Amino acid sequence: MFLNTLKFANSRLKIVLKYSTVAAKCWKCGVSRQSQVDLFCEKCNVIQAPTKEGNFFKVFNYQNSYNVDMKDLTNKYRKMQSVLHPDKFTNKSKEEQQISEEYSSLVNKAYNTLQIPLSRALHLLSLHGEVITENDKATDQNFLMEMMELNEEIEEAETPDALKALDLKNKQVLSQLALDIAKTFDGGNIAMAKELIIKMKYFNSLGMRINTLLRDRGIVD
Amino acid sequence: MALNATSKLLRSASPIKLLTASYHPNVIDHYENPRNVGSLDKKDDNVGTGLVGAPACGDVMKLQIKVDDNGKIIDAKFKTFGCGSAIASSSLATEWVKGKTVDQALKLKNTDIAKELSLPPVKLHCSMLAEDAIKAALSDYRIKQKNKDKTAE
Repeated sequence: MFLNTLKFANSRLKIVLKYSTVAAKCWKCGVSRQSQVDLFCEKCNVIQAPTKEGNFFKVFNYQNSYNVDMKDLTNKYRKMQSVLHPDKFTNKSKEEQQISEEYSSLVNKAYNTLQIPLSRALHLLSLHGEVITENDKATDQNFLMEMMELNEEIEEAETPDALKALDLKNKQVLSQLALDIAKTFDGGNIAMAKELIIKMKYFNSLGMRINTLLRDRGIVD
Repeated sequence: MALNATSKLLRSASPIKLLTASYHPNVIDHYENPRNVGSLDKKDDNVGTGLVGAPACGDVMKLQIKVDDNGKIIDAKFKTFGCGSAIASSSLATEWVKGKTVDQALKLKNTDIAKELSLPPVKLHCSMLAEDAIKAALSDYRIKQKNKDKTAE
């Protein structure tokens, strides 16, 4: 169901892009490009520079939606790098090498950002013109108390099994939060999404603390 | 021969040394020997509790003060889950408010903490968090006292 929606969204985006990029021209041969989605000019087959929007969803031709199919993302990432990587351009011109470097590093950055639930959420939030800064204050006393108690629980966990159980619980909370964040973004409630992302940040920190403790005890999964 | 080359490489990397070098000795001192870690009885009328958080880093800080009948802070405890600077800031804050009056403690500024710990600009918010925690604890204490006065009337 979700996949179908995604596919539909993608095909719709392609159509939009097709008609909105009339002005885009190949930097090498000057031909008007039909589709900005293509990495190479359809006439002279030369690599094209990425758009400079800073939208990591667009890099993979996705809509600005929190729901990203991880399998599809990894597939696209590998396919793109297999043709964009600078290693493929050692015999090409300086300009092409430069574009390949720029594009390949953008694809890396975009992939790493979209792959991680928290950084994907923060990126989508920033596309909506919102950021979480150091001046933001968490004031919800009940929530802070809960965080304090969870931190203490982690601190007091004596056995590796106890830590692992807490880790599992924490991961469940994080996946539920990811679902809620997706729904909230889809509903257009950005302020609420920000609140949920702040929560995700806290649970993410909890997870990192558990991992550090497990590592300190020499337990690696 | 090959082993020698490898061991040299490992020695020159020493990432741990680099990490600790970026913290000021005062921060490391408070981080390694934090003062006044613990909790006071939240329900005690003479205890004020401040609970604050920094969403940008997912830190949470609890700071408590115990005030005697003359308005003097006789004890302070903290519990912080966060980075070294946040722990050091709250540790230093508890040290400073002990022995002060409630009014004097209100005047404590985050800039004083930042200066003492030589915090870099990116860590200034940690000292702000400590200031907020003290303010929250003091205001919690005052609210408790007001309520106590009301019920006494």
